[in-house]
Amino acid sequence: MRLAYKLSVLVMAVAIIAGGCSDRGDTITPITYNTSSLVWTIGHEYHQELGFTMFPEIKIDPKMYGKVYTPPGYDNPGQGRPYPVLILLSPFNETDEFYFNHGLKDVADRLISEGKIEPMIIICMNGRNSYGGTFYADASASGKYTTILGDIEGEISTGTLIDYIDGVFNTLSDARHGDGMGRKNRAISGVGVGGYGAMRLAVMHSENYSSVSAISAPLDFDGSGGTGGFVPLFQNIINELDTTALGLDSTYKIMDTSFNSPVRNLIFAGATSFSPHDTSYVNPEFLPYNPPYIVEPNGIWQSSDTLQITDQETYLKPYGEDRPFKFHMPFDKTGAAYNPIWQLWLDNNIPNLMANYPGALDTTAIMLLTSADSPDELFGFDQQTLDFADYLTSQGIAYNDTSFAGYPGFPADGNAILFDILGRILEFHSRNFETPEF
Amino acid sequence: MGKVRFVLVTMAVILLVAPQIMSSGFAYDGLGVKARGMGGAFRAIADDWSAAFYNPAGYNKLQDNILALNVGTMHNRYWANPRIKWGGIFESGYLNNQRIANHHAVLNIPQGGFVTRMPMLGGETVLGLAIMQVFDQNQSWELFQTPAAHNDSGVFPEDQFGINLDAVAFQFTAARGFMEDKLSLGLGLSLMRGDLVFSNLVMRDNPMASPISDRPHDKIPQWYRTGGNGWGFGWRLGALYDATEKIRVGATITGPTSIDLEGEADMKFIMGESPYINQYITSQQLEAVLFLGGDIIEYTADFETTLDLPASIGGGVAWDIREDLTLALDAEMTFWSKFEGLQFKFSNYEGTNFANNQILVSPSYPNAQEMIETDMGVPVVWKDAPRVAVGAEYRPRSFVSLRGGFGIDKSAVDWSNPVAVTQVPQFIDLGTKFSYSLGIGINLDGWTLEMSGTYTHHPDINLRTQNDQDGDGIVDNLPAYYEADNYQTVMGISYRF
Repeated sequence: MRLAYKLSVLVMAVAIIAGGCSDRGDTITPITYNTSSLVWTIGHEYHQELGFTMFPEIKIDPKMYGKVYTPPGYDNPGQGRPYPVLILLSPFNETDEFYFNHGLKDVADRLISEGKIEPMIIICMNGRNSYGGTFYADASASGKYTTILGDIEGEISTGTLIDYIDGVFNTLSDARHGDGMGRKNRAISGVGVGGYGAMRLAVMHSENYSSVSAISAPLDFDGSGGTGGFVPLFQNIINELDTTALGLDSTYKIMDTSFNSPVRNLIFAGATSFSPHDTSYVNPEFLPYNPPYIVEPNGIWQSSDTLQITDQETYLKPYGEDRPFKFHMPFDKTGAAYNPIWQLWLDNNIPNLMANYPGALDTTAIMLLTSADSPDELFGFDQQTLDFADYLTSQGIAYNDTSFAGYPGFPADGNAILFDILGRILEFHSRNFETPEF
Repeated sequence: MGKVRFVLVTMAVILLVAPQIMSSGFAYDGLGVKARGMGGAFRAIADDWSAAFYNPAGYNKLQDNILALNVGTMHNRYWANPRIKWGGIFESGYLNNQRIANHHAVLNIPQGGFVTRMPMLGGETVLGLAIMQVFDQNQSWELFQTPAAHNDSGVFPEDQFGINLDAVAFQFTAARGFMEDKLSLGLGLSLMRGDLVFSNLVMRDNPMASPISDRPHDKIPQWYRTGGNGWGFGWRLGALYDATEKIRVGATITGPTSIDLEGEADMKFIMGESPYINQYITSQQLEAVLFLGGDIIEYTADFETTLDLPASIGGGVAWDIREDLTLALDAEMTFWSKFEGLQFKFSNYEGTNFANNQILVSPSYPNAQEMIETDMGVPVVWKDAPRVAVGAEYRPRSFVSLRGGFGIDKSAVDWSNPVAVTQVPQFIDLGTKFSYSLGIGINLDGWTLEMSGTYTHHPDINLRTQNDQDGDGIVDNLPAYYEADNYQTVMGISYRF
């Protein structure tokens, strides 16, 4: 019996060990989420100034283009629930495809599926033109973006972008859901110059945007001490000029306007927005696209924008006097800020705009994002954002301040990790929407 | 008292020395039914065909011719819970925070031997031929899902991380006695066959400039599977000494073996997919199409690598406490520090992008060529590792043997230095392992039927640090929370005549 007992124990033990060979099956949970969202291409023609721009890409076609993300389950107005709207402005030298090329659809699909954000309509606007981009300012020379993106005129086909979006897409709007519902459920954001545009619009059209976020954006043109921001870039531009053949004076006047210097092109783009030379000349080829021209007695087509700068000190006309591409640089040939023109830029500096629109951000949720480990050294936008954050603090204006960083071997420069920041942006604006229950 | 003191001192020396000198890695310990039933403590016993492995000198003690066949079955029951985020923040595509089992596979490992006393050599030399699997590693995993934002149609095969390594020794063994047979010496010479199927998935840095390489396209997943074989030579030397009538001491030395492996490799790259790629083509030309056009590049290549199998030394003592009870103690040190992993050298690339449209031989694609035509390595930094085993055999009847054993394997991985840990799913070695064995043998008129079972438990390891051991920009380990157990059953039949 004793031996039989031992044998039984042994056989059972061996059986247990052999039982360890059972199949555990498939233990993987694939990462899946609803990807039935759609991306639409829109092209809206504003009834006024956009066609006057001097940039070929826009002057030929006065439409403002964008791409629109509609969440899974989206249906037309009157046939499904309405959604809040987030407008994303493209950074310098990028288009309405920028955010989608950085995974916007995937990020939004995933966060909506996980319940981390409210389903929303996301509109990515194109800000690119021949010289890289616009500052989303109002100028006939570069397009009246501020009006187009900020105003509401109430006419779908010829009105502003908000008119068009609220008319065509199933948004939460004042017209369909009552006064104030549109603003509570409309937000704007952008990277780089797009972030400047977003903040500009949030200030100048605070009646239409309830939250704004800006990522590494030029929000303080002259920095906290008046010598930061863009100012150091002026000297850099002068320093990189090759003056050996023509000398400094002539070289300055015929600065290369091709795309071989990103910083120089950024300033050119700013100059066409803030300090264009003369918007009175209009190429007659624009006529078919933009009816409300003014015809002067001398027969010259002229836009309703009457900014004309007579100062000659920093006047650049790289294509000659007969061509429309003429502007004034904010710095002189020594690289110092040239006040008569620089002041035109500073008039558009966000702190100064805020002074002109007192209380504009009082009920606006603000988020600022900056790179923590690799500030944008080329444009200095991160420092401008930090300086602006200090300004908000000094004004007692609340904001969400957050930083981002890359990983070893992959610094968070430029737009490299936007894919990972997008989630924070969407979550921030989602939290601030006041979307009713459906 | 003298005998007891001798045994105790010998055991103490082995136990003390073994952990300081250092045996583990992917050595296969499922050889011989009796040996496994005793936890592998068999060097000083070595009285069946498996002595070819444990101690060739043991053949000298075999009085009969033996024909034996064993079948080992093994189940590597592993779990990995990946913890890989770039910079600790950014999603990587690894199935993080999922407790994932290696693919189910019960391995069947046949082995056996023939031992005979050769009359022409005066009957004093014993010869044997054994076929033994001396190194084995076999598991495969699926631990990665291509992020949809990178490419929503790119799927890799299920054996993303896999290895099927078999090193089989065809060993000729000769043993002879000296000092009136108190001392036995044995030598085994083996022809070693290596078969390797190895698959791996690595994340390559996107060599293009921004914005082509912006997240989520900063890394390009590459999978490769090599399948090939080769031959090498090995040897092992053993000594067995009868210290007293009841106490034997054994010692072995096993030489290193290098096996040059050749075969064919399958490669697969899942390139990024950007919805609006045209935006980038003007700035970075045609190569952008390859990196953001959603291509899945598949091709084959020849490969060669060298499998360096380590040397080892070992010692053991066996004590017949009673006529029906034997205790044994073994210690072994395997020089795993000589094993540096696998380095695959590729050549003769063939595939659509090479043969038909010639993309990857075009000077317009320098970044792609450099990235795709790259030799791959799985560097391993291991240290020498000891193993200690104790076992017992109890013979309650003349025809029945009951066995039990316990083994401790020190890890070949230097876990004390986190930045040097090259732990990968293909080589599971999570620390000091404990093995528990039981076995039974039935003897019937020259026939012996045996069975043993062994359970081995690895400690859980939470590996967090990414490690680029060879500095090629590719993370060489796979941080995860690892758990591992092995179940092993060996059955055998032998005939003595």
